[in-house]
Amino acid sequence: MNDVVITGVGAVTPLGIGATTLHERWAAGICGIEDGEGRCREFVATEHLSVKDARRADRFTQFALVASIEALADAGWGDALPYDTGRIGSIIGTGIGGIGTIELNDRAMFDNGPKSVSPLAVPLMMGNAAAAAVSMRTGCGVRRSAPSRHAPRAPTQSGQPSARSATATRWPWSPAAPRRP
Amino acid sequence: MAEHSSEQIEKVITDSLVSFGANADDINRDAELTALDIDSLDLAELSQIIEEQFGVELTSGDVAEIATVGDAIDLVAERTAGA
Repeated sequence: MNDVVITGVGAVTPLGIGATTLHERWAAGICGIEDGEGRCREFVATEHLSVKDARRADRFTQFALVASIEALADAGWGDALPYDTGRIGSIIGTGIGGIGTIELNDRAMFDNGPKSVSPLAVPLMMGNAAAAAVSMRTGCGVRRSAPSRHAPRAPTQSGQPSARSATATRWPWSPAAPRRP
Repeated sequence: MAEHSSEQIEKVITDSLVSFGANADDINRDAELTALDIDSLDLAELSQIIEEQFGVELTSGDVAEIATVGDAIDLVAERTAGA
């Protein structure tokens, strides 16, 4: 088994944007769940991505892009990659992929037929969309992977996300514990 | 199929291009779509919008012939007028 070192983190979560914000608000006992949902209300894609990049990405991919860019900058990889892209991979887990795109286009097809389905539907909803987008945007890298499972974890009784569900929203490397700023 | 004015067609196409990320100030009849950073996926979406708005079905061959904003406007105007 190889050792793994986390050298940078990034986060887009219901507690805010950025790993530091996540840690500070989590440590302060703030709950990101409202009415049973964690919406990432502070996240507006076009504040972080171009209109084209935002349109070409489902919300889960937008989260992954922004968090990955933060993580790479945190690792000191923001300006240039220190290794050949062939040695760098983009591995991003997802529960289901672009669920918003799936819902929207399922409804469009149901209401108006298959020709109403967006040409962007498949590239936005596919499970490896986030890994692919991050790879294309950052150059990380030739190896892409998108492990997926369909068993979302429930919040704890207090309404706070459980440790495992909270870390599951920390892209892209999901460290086991919050990193102190 | 109803005939649509050139202004109506131009507005729909311009609004679509802006929604795709093109800079509104750069859009005019002579503007080349590649210069506006409009790619094939955008054109596929534009074809869908045109069909929804004007009932004009554009084939991939039609779309391949569109180089400028004016080409798109003229093609839709021609198809709606001839229908």
